[in-house]
Amino acid sequence: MWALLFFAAVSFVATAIYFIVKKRVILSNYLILNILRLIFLAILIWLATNPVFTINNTVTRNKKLYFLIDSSNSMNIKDAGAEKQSRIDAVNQLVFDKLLKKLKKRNIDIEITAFGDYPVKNPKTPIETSSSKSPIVSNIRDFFDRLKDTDPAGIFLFSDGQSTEPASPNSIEYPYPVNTVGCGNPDSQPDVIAESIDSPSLADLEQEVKFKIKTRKTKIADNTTLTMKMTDENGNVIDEKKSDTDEFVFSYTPSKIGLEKFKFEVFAEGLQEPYPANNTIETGLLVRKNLLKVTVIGVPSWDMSFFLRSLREIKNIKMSVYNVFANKKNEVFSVDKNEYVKMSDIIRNLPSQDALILSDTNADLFSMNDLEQLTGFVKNKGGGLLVFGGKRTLGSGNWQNCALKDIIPVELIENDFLAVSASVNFDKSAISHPILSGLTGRNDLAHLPPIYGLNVFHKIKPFAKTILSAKTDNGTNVAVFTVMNCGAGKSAVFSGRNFYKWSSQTKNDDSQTDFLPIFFKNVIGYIAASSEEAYISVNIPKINYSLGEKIPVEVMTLDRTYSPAKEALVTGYALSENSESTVLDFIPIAGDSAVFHCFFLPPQPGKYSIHIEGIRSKNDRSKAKTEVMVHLPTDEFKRIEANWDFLKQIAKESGGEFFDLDTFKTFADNLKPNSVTEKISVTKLVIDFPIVLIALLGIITSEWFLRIKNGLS
Amino acid sequence: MKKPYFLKFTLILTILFFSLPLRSEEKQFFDFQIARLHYEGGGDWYSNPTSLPNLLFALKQRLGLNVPEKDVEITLDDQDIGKYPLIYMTGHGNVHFSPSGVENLRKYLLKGGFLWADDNYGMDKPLRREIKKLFPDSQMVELPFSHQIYHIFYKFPQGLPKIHEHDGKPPQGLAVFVNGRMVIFYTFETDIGDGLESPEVHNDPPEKREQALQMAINIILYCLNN
Repeated sequence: MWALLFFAAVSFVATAIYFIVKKRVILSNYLILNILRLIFLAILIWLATNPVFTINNTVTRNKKLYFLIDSSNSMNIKDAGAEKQSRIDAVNQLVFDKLLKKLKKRNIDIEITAFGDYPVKNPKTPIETSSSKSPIVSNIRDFFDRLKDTDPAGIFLFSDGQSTEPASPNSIEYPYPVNTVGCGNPDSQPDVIAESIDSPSLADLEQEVKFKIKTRKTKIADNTTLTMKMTDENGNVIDEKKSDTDEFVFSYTPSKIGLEKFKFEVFAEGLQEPYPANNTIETGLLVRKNLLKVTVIGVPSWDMSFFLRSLREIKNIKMSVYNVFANKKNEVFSVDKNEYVKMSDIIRNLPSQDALILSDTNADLFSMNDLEQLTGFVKNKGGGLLVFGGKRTLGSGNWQNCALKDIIPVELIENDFLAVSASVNFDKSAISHPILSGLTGRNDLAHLPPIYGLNVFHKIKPFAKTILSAKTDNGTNVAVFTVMNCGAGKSAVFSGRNFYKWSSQTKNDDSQTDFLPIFFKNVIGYIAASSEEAYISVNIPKINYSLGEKIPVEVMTLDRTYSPAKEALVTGYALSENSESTVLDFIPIAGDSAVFHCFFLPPQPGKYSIHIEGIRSKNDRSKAKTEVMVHLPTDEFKRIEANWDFLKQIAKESGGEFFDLDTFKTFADNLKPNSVTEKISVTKLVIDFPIVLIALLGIITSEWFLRIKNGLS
Repeated sequence: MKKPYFLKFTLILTILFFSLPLRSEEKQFFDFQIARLHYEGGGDWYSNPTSLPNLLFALKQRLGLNVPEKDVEITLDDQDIGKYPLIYMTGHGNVHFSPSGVENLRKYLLKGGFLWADDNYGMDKPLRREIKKLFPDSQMVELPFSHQIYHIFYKFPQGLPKIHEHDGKPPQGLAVFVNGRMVIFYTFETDIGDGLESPEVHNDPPEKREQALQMAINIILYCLNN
């Protein structure tokens, strides 16, 4: 209606205009001009309504082929064909270098999917699977889920049939046939295998350890000579051995603290193994210094026996005890080895020790070179030195005239031993010193028992600290126990004698019996332990774990007297090589709140450092660190032969066919996938058709041409 | 004549004046002292009187240790028992530990003391009975020949040496351990003390006496180093 009215109005205007211009244009031309204008206008108005145009068509195309390629660990076994290339390389060569181009030329569309670790050329949508694992049936199931309603022309699985899951081929439903292409060699065998390793998890610094590696010969003669290389984590060869037997033994003396990783590789000369992973075995060795090593040199005496007993109560202490006998010069008697040893040999071994205790020893026992090394042990190596006084030592043992005087906290005078009894007290300025932990504040220790006989010093050195002082019978105050930092180490002097009374008491009563053990444990802990680690006992059963294995961590925090700290809490975390942190959730073990426990499940292989903090109170904490190593399971492919039966079963269960790589080549050359015919409807906006724009341009050009021809402007 | 006599007298007095305190001081600072146990019950606790002085002399001579010339005698109730790292007991007859003596000796042993009981023949039964009073929950065990006490200084690969015949049985080294530490060492069917005696006492052959001395030194050194 509106359109009619519009056209009536336009016609009326056109007729009116004609009567104005009839002298300049004939009617027929005028009509043609206006018809062209009307058509142009009508088209514009039509296009403004977004008109669409639908085209129906029928097409025929090939269905898509799907290639599923197993690129897991076992596909790296080198047993494919005469060239002994890896299984995955053989697949890559066939599919990508040859087949893909041919099929593209024949308009056969292919979609390739891969699962595993090893590189496959140009995979489109790899399935994410757990690294190095090849659960074949699960991967097929995932693949079907992704296909959904797609109608494939064919599915081809390229694999060696080595599945890392127990699922059997008949455990899933196959909506489409799966054709399997067997890779590798079903009769493949390694020549020799690195079967197992017997190695310690923990080692002490500079203490020799042994690694025993068992090998197994499979294809080669029993008397074939094998070679094994031991390398560090940087690939540096540490040792190489040859053997006709199945066992190799390597000795190693660690020289640094921390976790060391070793690889042992076995091979027979001239033979190329199909799967090198079977010929290597890895292990980690945690080298640590949680053992206090103390050397004790002294005249056997009642005093010495008491502090030896006290020291033996320290957890993780290893003592080497030497007796000084006056009739031997420059030699002392080793109580452990039951023989005399040269003093110079003991001093030379000092760097492997944490502390040296000298009890009533004369300076003449040491050569000039010994003295130089001894002072270097304390000053430069951070060793601890504890000196017990007596008639034959300190100022009475000529210490003031040799280098020993420089590393002790007191200045000496000659003949300094006094045969007097003296009452002993905690020095007031040392009440909070770590050496007196657990001792000060006890009522029964308000008055310590007396000593009888002591070395009296000229004075204590400026940076030394007096821990115990004594008052002699004549009222003189003297320092009895002093400590000081000396370069990198610490030294302490206990000048008193007959201090067995402190433990056994002259009067055989019950008081103060535990004073001496606690005191000496504190002293050794202070001068010998370089860190707070001495106060935390971290127990991890072994150092080498397989991925997926839970790591139990047991921690006991000790108090300052090296006894279990009952009120302590424990926190910790594990840090991977990539600095990824996992919080360790410790819980107390029932019945003993000093011991805490947790499990740590490493998320990936590699080294992990376990950081532990024992919290006795807000301001009293000790930290410790240890390390573990997590390996990939190494026994996954001890049997390396391709499992084609598994692939044949998949083909059978799903209604597909099995090929080996060679027969598949021929099959693929003649492959004619089914085609499919489809009706296609295409709907487009009219304005999207170029003809419409051309028509509009033609109309407007024609109108313009007519006007020019008739002399109209 | 009066003048030289006066000079001599003055000189002697001077020497005595300076030497007496020194001798007294020496006694106080021995490396250790052995005490002989004067027990009750009728047994001859005092037997083999020259044995310990001979042992102390050997320790001084062979190892240069600063030890006294003689042992001291203590009773079970002696509150000074803690002054001595090693208590030695021997005899032929009965042994009896009083309740207070048992208490005192047990405390001493638990605090680090050491008892060496050397059967002089006939002491075995009463000694075992009295030791049971000391540590009712601990067993007396025979030490293996590989134990440190047989090797610490002198080597005794076959264990205790046989010094005196007694019943002709093989010698036994028995021990009581408390908290992992040996507190009592009992030498049975050997009579080490017999061999330690001066040669004219029992006319033991020199090699037997030497064996006894060496074993006794081992016991002393084991006590002082453990």
